[in-house]
Order: sequence, then C-alpha cells, then structure tokens
Amino acid sequence: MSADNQSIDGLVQQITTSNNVEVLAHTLRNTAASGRDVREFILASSMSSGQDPLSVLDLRINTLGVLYILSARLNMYLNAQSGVQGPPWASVAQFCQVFDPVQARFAPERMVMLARSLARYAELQGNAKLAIPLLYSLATRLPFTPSCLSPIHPTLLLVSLQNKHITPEIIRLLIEHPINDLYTYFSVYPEFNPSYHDNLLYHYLGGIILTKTGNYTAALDYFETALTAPSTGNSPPAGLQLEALKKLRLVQCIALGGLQPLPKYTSPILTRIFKGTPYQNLINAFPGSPHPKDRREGPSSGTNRLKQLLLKDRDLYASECNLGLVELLVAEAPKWIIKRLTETYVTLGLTEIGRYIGIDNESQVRALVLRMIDSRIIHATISDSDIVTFHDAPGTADVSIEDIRTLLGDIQGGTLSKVSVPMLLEAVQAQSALLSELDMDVGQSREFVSKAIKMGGGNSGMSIGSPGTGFGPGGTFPDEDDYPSGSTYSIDREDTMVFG
Amino acid sequence: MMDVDDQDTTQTVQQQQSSQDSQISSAAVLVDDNHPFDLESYISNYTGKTAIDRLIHIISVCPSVAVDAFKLAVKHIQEARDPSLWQTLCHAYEQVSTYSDIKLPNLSELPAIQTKWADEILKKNHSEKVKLEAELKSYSNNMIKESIRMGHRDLAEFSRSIGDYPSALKHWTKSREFCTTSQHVLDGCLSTIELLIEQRNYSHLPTYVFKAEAALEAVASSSANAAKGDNASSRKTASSTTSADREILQSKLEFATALGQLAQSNYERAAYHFLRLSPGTGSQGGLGDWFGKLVSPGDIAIYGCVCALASLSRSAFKAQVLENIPFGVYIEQEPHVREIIEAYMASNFKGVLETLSKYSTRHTIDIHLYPHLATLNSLTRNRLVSLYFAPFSSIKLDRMAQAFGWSVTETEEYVVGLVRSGDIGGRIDSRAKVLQVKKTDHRAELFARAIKTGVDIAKTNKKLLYRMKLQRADLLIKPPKGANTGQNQMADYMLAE
Repeated sequence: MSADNQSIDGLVQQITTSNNVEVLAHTLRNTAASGRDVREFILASSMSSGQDPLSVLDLRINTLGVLYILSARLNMYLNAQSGVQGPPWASVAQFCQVFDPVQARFAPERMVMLARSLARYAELQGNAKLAIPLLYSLATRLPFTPSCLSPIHPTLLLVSLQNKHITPEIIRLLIEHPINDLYTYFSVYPEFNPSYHDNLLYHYLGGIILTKTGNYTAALDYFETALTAPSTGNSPPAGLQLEALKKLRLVQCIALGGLQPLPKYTSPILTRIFKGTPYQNLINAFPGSPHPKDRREGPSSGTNRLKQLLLKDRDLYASECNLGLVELLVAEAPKWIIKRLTETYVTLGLTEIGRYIGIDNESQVRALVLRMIDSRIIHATISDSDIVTFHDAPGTADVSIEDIRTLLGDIQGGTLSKVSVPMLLEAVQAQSALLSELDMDVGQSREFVSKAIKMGGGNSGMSIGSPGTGFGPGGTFPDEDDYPSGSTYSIDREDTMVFG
Repeated sequence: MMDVDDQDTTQTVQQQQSSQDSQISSAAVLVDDNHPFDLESYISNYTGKTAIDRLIHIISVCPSVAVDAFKLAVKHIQEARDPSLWQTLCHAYEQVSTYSDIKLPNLSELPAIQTKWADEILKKNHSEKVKLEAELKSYSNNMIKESIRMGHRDLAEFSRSIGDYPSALKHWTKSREFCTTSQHVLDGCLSTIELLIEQRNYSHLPTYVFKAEAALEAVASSSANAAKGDNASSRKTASSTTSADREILQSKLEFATALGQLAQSNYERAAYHFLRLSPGTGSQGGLGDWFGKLVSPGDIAIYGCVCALASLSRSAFKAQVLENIPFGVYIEQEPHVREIIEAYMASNFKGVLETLSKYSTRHTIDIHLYPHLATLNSLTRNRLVSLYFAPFSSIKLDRMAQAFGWSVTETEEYVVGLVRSGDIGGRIDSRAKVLQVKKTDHRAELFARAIKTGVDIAKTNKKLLYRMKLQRADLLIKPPKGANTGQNQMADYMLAE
C-alpha cells in the first residue's frame, strides 16, 4: 500500500479506508516526517478539490481522523496569520458530543489540544460559555471512568469559573466523581502531557466552585487534595497550595465551626508561611477555634474582633480574592457562637443570645436562631416569651450523605437521602476489597518481590500459606516503604507468590 | 561555659526584678479584721537577707503595713552588710506611695540609715574582699586543692553577704573544680541552691538538685563503706553524715525541687514534694538551718496545703495531707491551714474559700507563693465547684451559691466557665437557674463515633491511594523553571475566582 502521507487527500483516503485504528493512529502521528509545522499545515488544509475534509468524514466513525484534522485546524486558526479557515462551529460541537472514546484514546494529546483551543474559539464565536458543555463532554467521555483525571478537566473548570457559568453538571461531576485515578499517556508534545499542575489546578478550582455553591464538605476534600499533592524532595510547595490552604482554613471555619487537623502530608513550609499571614489571626479569633485567649468569651466580643480584623486587612483579602470568604466567615461566626451556647445552656433568652453574638436587634437574633433550627444545626424551640430551649441532640450519627459520597462512590447514584448502617458496611467492605486487591497487585510487582527476597534472605521458612494479619481484606495497607519484614513474609526464590 | 551560665543567671535576675517592679501595686492587699496579719510575729520567723526581702515585698504589696515594715527593714539592714539594700527598700517604698490610695508618710519622715554606717560598712567590705582575694591568690600559688576550695568558698559566702550574687555564684562554681570529696560537692551544691532560692531564680534549681542528689548518694555510700571497713577511724567521718543529717539534706533538696516545680506551675508535683518534707521545726529536723534563713515551717504548711488543694483529687488529698503524719507537724504551725483542711474534708466548701480569702494577705505577702496565688485559688475554686456538683443530676444555682457564699450571677459565671472547659458535664438552664447533668446516649454516641471514624479513615485512605497514584505517575511538584512564571500563573488562577 503506497501510503500518501504528504497530502490531505491521501490522509483522508487512509482515514476512510483503514480498518485498523492502531495503524491509522501511527500513520497520523507520523504524517509528514518533515516536522511538526508541516504536519499541522497539511492536516489543516483543504482537499485538492476544494472540499472540506470534514464534510467527507463521518464524525463518529472516523473519530480519530476528524480529531486530528479538527485540532490542527483549530490550532492553526487561532494562531493568527496562518490564513486557515476555522472549522464550522456546528461540526466542532457535534464532534465533541458524538466522538468515539475508544478511537480518541489513541490520540489523547490531540484531545487536549482541541480542548484548550475550544474556549478561545467559542469566545470568537461570541460566547465563551458555549465551550463549557463541549469541554464537559470531552472530559467525561475521554477517560475510562468519570473519576479519572485528564488534562481536560482543569480547562473545563477554568473556563466555567472565568465565565461565571457553573452548570449543574459540573457540580454533579465534582461531587459524585471525586478523582481517584489518573488518565496517563505519553505524547511527543510535552505541553499536552498530564502534569502535576493539572492535578493542583483541578482540585483547587473544584474547591472554589464547590465553596461557591455551598457544598462545603466536598470543597474541603478538594482543597485537601490540592494541599497534599506530592512534590519532589527539594521542591518548595506550589503557590496554589498556599492558596488552597488559606481557603481550606476559611471553609473549615465556616462549615465546621473550627479548625480540623491538617492532613499528614501537608508541607510544614506551608503551615509556617500561613502562620505569618493575617488569616491566622482571623481563624484564631473565630469562635470555634481552640485559642480562648484570642476569642475572649463573653458578650459581644467574638464577632467584634472578627470585624476589626476584617477591616484591618480588607485590602489584602480583596487582592487575594478571599474577601468574599472572609466576609462569609464573619457573617457565620454568630452561628457558631450559638452552637457553642447549646453545649453550656439548656435555656437562654433571645436577648441573652443577642448579647453573646453582639446583635442588639431581637428580631434579627430570632431570625438567625430560626434559620439554624431549620437547617438542623441546632435542636431548639423558641417559646412565646422569647426563651430558647436547646434540646439534646437526637442520638443519630451526624453523617450526611455528602460525607460518605466518596465512600459510596457511584454505586448508589445521587438519589440517596438517608445513610443507613448496612449501606455504610457495604461501602466499607467494598473499600476493603479494593485495598486487598491493590495489596495483591503490590505483592505481584517485581519491585516488591525483589525487596521481599532481599529482606527475607531466601530460605528461612515459608509462611506464605497464611499471610500476616496485616494483609487480609480489611487489614491495613502498608506504606510504600513499609513492606512487611522477612519474618512474617519470607519467600522461597523458586516459588511464585501465592496469596490467601 | 561557666561564663555563659553566669551571664544567664544575672540576666534572669534582672528580668525577675523588672517583672517584680511592674507587678507592684497591682496586687495590693489589705490588713484589717477580716484579713488578720501580724507583721511582727510573721517576720520574727526569719533572719538575715530573707527577712529584708520579705519586708520589701510586704511594702510593695501591702501599703497598710508599709510603714511598720519599712522600720523593721531598716533595722534588719543595719544588721546586715549590704547597704545597697537600702536603695531597693526606698525604691519599693516610693513606688507604693505613688500608686496606692492610702496616704503614706513621706520617706524623709521615716528612719533612715546613717551614711556613716554605710560608708564604714563599704570600707570594711572592701578591705575584707581584698584580704580574701589575697588569701585565695596565695592558696592558688601553693596549689593545695583544699585550701583553694576554701578560699573560693569564703569568697562566695562573703560575696553573698554583701549582695554580690553573680560573683558569689561564680566562686561557688569555681570551688567545685577543687572539690576532693563528695561531701564538698554536696556542700557546694546546697549553698548554690540556697543562693538561688534567695534570689528567687528557680529555673536553675533542678540542675543543682540533680547534682546534689548524686553527691548525696556518693557521700552516703562512702560513709557506709568506711563504717564497714574500719570502725575506729571512720567514726569521725560517719558522724558528719548521720541519718538525721541526711534526712535534713534530703528535705532541703525536696524543698528546692518543690519550689522549682511551683515556679513552672506544676502544682501537683510541687504539692507532692512539699508534702514529702521530713518533720521537725528546730535546727534538729526539717530543713535544718534553712528555717529562718529561707523559709519558716508555717510557709511549708501553706505551700503544701494550697498546692494540694489546687491540684490533688479528694482521695489523694486525704492520703497525702490528712494521713501524712510528718506533714502534720508543719500544719500545726499555721492553725488556719488546719482549718482549711478540716473544712475541705467536711465538704464545707464555703469554709474553705472563706478561710482562703481571710488569709489571702498572709499568702500574698509570701515571696515564693504570690505569683501563683491567683491561679492556685481559681484552680481550687474550680475543683470545689466540680466536687460539689458531682453527686447531683440537677441543682439550682442559688443553692449552689449558698453553699459557696457567692451571688447567683457569680456562681453562674464560674459554672459556665467550668462547663466550657469541660470540667463539668452539664448544661445550665439560665431561666430557672438550674444546672443539669448532660444526658448522653452512650450507644448512639458509640455508633456515631464509629461511623465517623470509619468514614474519616476511608476518606483518608482514598486520598492516600490517589496520592500514591500521582507519585507513581511522577506527577510531582517541581521547582519552577523560571522564577517569574509561577507568579504570573498564580495571578491568573486567582482572577478566576
């Protein structure tokens, strides 16, 4: 077969006739060995008959070919002065909806390339928001599972945030499909490879979106993931991580009424820098914080101090785009003061509550308390004579569906309203099964076997028939550098490993 | 190394003095019928430097007896050899007369020390110093260790008597190098401890106590060996460390440790050490010659009791204080301490607090105790309130207020504080003024906790797995290539919000 790689006509012919996607992918990748620019130009050109190659090809059946042509043309078009005509918006849009993921996975870097051009192209079309559903479709359909991170993900969130257009689909994606896997590949274009930055950016932006929409629990998870992203030994933490830490702390105060311990892998450099910022004082002054010295309990103190702090560093918060959160924090403080009061008092007059939170207006206090009762933050009743009686919290576990979403994963869909113990057990069992499976994977890996042999020293007794307690389902999963010692786990050189 | 140590001590002394100055007049106490205090009988328990120190402290915290204290202090100073104390005294007096509301007579109307006396003393001090230094020099030339040690020791004692603490400390540390027996080491350490206590420099106490304890062990074992080996000749050495002596030494070290713990606010430990002192009030038992020179037995009773009240549980208090017969000897010195203990054991909490406040003057004028008095008292109060509430499932606040002799608002305030800090597991009905025990459904709580922990662990687990995947894919944060790019990118993302 005399493959004509040098013209668009030849390529189109190959695309339409080829029945082996792998070969085709190879051909397309190596179109015109003369160089990248030439290759892109060929892909973007029209056919000799003046016909648009896209009109010849079927968007779904010829996904791979269309992908190459579309991405090249879009790229050339946006690169100004190249004189290339942009592809018609309709076909771009259609392609994004109908493309065949199996074929597309042969050229993920082209998908990324296409995705990155989409936003600008949509803007040129007059409405950048148009790109959002397309990007969403790309991001969710390209990887194997919706919980798999691709470099398209951060672009999607960025575009959606920049245009202040957060669709319900995006929120659902963020909440129901927290990232637990990576879509990895390697391409010759380094800028389209997945990078640590995608991970940071996606989780940081995801956190922001979820905070904006009030899904605080999930937002905390996203910020935490951004915060604990691994780094090379000598690298300083990324700037985004510091921003994530700031937002994490603020959201913790707003949503949980106080600080939670930071995850284990938080860089100490970050916490140190954070201590030097005004945010530290701010969260220390928050009513739920463990620094009673700064808090100074008593009538109308807590919120006043917060307000002073807000005024003091207002410009800084504004310039760091945290002003909204900080204001929310100040506004939420009375809630948590009241929440703390329920631990101390059984009954309390509205005026007294008002004194504690620094609000003189009784009807405002009443409204606040009513709101809190409605949202079930406190369990209380207000009597005719303006006395609030706090009831003991009912003896149910305070676990919302939100909290265990990550656990349940997408087994259950989004229609759950109540968490039951059997459900939790099921989730835990699934988790254990997953862990033991992973455990076996590790056990089979070459690295592990060689380490185990080294440590076990060869023939010192076989104990494989009964894997150590740490290795059954439900057992703990060892850290990477915490492989079981030889005494519990010795392996004969000739034997393959048999588990359980 | 020693130099550093010396500097350190002088610094802390200065710091302490300055902090003392700032505290003056903030804690003025009264002497009246409700707060009895007899200056004469109090100060007669002390001699020498500590008496002067205590009087100066009294002047600064207790203006109502300042004049008497001033007169007494002048008398004591003239018996001592340190004219600079006069300045300290005047300074304290002036400060208190500017701050306090009570009109105090002008300094010029009070007896003063004669300048002639001061000059003579200074001259005498100087000549003695020259003499002692000359002696030390000649000893050093002769290179006889024991003489050099004694030379240093004499100089140290002398420096201490004229109020030159840094050089006293220096000579004590120097003398250590020339010690030949553990007995000498022990003597040196004890003198240093004495010096530190006198200076109220508590932070270094534990070090010297540690050294002294080791030396004491060595002395005891060597004397025991000697006694075994040769009865006739060892009698002399053995007699110097009879068991009574040893007990006194041990008690001194306990006392020093207790003060060190007190200074660090470890009240419980301090209480245990105070309560472990061996009995005896004269020079025969207890702290031996430290009684009068540093403390009085009555002080020990107060320290022990106040610390124990604040920190020990009721049963521990019973075992450690009430059934501690040796300590009973000290308690007899201060009848009000006995009153407090009896009231406490009879659950007469009002009585405890009343007695404590009645004798607050006596406690505040104590130079070792007063920085901690407020904390100790509030700890005691909290303990009493918790104890009182323990058997009830709900109680009216006004009954509680009666039992403690407080107003209802006061009681509510204390109780709220305790509920907040978690010392009382209850909630307050602020309408009916009732304190109720919190009802907890343990089964539900257990479930809730188990579920929460489980969910947390699972979440962490997932995050860790994801993190591992990132590491495996080598998606690690790398140092920025160009210093600027990171910043620009950051700005972009922040705009995105």
